[in-house]
Amino acid sequence: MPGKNRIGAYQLYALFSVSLTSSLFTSPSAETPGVGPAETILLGLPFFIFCAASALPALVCLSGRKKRRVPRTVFSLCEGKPAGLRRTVSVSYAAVFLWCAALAAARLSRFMQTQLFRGDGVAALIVLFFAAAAWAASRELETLGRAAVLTGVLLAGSVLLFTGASLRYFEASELPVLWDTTPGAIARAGLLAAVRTPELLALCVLAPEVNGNVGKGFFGWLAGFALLLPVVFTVIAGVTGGFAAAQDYRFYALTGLARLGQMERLDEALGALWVLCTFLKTAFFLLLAHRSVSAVHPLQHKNLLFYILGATSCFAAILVASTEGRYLAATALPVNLALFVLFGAVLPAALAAFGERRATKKKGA
Amino acid sequence: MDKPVFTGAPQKDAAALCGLLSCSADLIVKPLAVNGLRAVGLYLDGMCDEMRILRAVTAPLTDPSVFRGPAGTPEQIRLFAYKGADVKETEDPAEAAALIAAGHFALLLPDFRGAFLFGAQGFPKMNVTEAQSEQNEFGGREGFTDTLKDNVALLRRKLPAPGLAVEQFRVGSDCPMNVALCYLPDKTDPGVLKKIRKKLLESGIRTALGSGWLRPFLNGRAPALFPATGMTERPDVLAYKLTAGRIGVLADGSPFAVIVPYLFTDYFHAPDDYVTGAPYACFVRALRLTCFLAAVALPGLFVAVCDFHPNMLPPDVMFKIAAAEAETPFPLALEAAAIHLIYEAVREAGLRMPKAAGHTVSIVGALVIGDAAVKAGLIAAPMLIVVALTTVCSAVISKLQDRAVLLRLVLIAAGATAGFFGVFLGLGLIAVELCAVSPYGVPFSAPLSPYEKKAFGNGIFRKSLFRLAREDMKLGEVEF
Repeated sequence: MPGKNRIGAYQLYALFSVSLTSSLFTSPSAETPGVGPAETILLGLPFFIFCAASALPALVCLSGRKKRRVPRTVFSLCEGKPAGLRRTVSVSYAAVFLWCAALAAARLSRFMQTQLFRGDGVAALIVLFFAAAAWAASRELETLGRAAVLTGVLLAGSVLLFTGASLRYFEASELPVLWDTTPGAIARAGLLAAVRTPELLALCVLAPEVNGNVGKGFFGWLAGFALLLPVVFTVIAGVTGGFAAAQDYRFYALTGLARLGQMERLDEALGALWVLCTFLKTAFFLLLAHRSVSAVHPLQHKNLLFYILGATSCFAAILVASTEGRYLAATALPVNLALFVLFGAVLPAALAAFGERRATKKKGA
Repeated sequence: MDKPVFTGAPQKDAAALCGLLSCSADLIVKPLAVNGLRAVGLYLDGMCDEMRILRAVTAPLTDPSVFRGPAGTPEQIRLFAYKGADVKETEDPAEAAALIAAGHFALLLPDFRGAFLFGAQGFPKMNVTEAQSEQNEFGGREGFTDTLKDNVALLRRKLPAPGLAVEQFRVGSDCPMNVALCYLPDKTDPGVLKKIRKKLLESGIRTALGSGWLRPFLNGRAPALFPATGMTERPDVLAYKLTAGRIGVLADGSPFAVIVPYLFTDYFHAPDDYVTGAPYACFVRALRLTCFLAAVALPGLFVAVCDFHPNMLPPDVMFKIAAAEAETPFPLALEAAAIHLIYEAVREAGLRMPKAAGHTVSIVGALVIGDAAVKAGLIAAPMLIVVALTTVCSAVISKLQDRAVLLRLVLIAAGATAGFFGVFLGLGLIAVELCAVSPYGVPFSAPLSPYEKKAFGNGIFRKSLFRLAREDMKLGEVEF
């Protein structure tokens, strides 16, 4: 049985799945310009390649030295290095995780403004949401991992239910002509999906706290997700056809058409599930930000910091979600790609390489 | 003030004990002649069985044929004690006074700086009756009583394993209570046992009047939404839990045993599950879980659907609900909360009032809420149906009823404020809280999450008895 604050690999990937589902299946189309139904069906392979390529350096660098094989974090790679560098790395990772939490909440806020509350202000709800997420984050990783498994089961069941309930409307003639798209467009769609997977950055911070084979589990999970995406997007395209392409929220549009017996408009239920997933996602990123800060700075009021981090991220989320222009600028590909590559691949690799060189020099001396 | 000590003068020592017992009017001091010596016997009227004292203590002690030879009385009494009587010996007057207060008969002898205390309890106590709070159809009927000794005996009758260990100690300073810790050493985690023992001994509780008083100390972290301990009134349930590696805490004066640790899935188990077939037991367990979810979330979801997402409902249903609600003066959430509060008040009144008047409360409640309020247009019939359904569902899981009531009111408020957003955020918080509790290192949400393959089969579903017969159950391994 996992000890306190350690989770099983399957719990980590349940957290990833819940977190990723909330952003991939429910992002507005405006966030992914140029990605049509054909690209969404075919993005599985490039998504897998981009994610695997960007996570590989972190997985290799953090898996530990050959002899000891003790998993490391980016912060443990900084040990023995100047205090300034350690602090900079710690604060930078914390900021990135807070940014990820803010983006997730901003996405939810945009969704609620446009779909659920039709124009009403939701800032107060977002504040409540962050308060709840900060509280959940303070219950530690093990708790979030367990809650993610429960939510993941609920989510998987619901996705199956929604897609199953809408299959009666499936028409092959509605499917897009796949060869109309270009490899470049498919690769871009895969890249867009990959940069909306900031969960991978968690590996840089959490690797030692995960029981089981993180790397092996990671590729299995990624492959499963890459296979699932085309299936769901094929159903969306086959059911909704041109209708979904014109919608802001494609998966949401699919569930809007689905009905189950006397129950209609299952999109409302999906909206609720999205709230649940984003709640866990936000709590997870707040926890990661907390871990990043506490890895270098000794803390006296541990729980208070969760709320301070939550307030910071909440402020950013409200700011980002206030207008569509700001939201689209914040979720633009170049910004997120830069963050994703820098913190997911370049920084861990650089820190590991620097550490190895230093160790070799010491040995030589 | 000096601590009193026994002097070896029975009259003087009896006066000292009398002082320790506040010279209580029911304290009986009886001069006796034991083997020619002038001894003194003390006991509390009503706490001892006088016939038992006469037959087992005073008659043999005062019979010259029992004691022969020189007057070495304490040694002779010690020998006499080995013949089967429940005799304790103490040199501490405070301990002697405590045992007298607990129903012992004290014997003070000349030139003996101590007291012999004979177990001759004969106070009024509850008989073994059917368990009132945990009814079942096919299983055993008997429930615990309010006497510790009888409860341990009832447990031993159900679990006649030689390995069953019972540790007994006293807790409470102002109002002490005997507590028994029951477990099977080969099944229980010694670490958990040590923690429980420590928590009980270091509780610092002043007044303890039943096992329920100890629960907060055993639960540990406060305030927790879901407790780490459970209660049962049935010896067979406790016996089963002990075989699964749990630890039972029995207390004098309470017909309830505390089970430590207690997990979420335990609330959905019942003794009947093992008498009916496995498929039906699985179905019933799933039904109980669904009922709990309905008891917590149904009114909140109803308020959310009607206020924020009416298009989820078929038009016919939606129009009927809208028409009914249009005739009532209150907002839906207020209506829901008010009916629940009235129902809770009626339930509480029914529970606390004398039985004869209890029926009146039920009739008034049913007539006023169920009929008159709807006819007067103060509440709508659909809301009443939802509340009735919720009430029935919460009665299915009676042990979680108190939690369900509070969570329900919170979710009604959440549903009224933000629709599904609020309800699901609330459910998310409940899920996190459920997963955060780890009583004694065993996750409260196990075997659901973390998933434990072996335990899952009998935690959520019910394994066949053939399979259970092949599995050795230990805490955290097979049966959580």
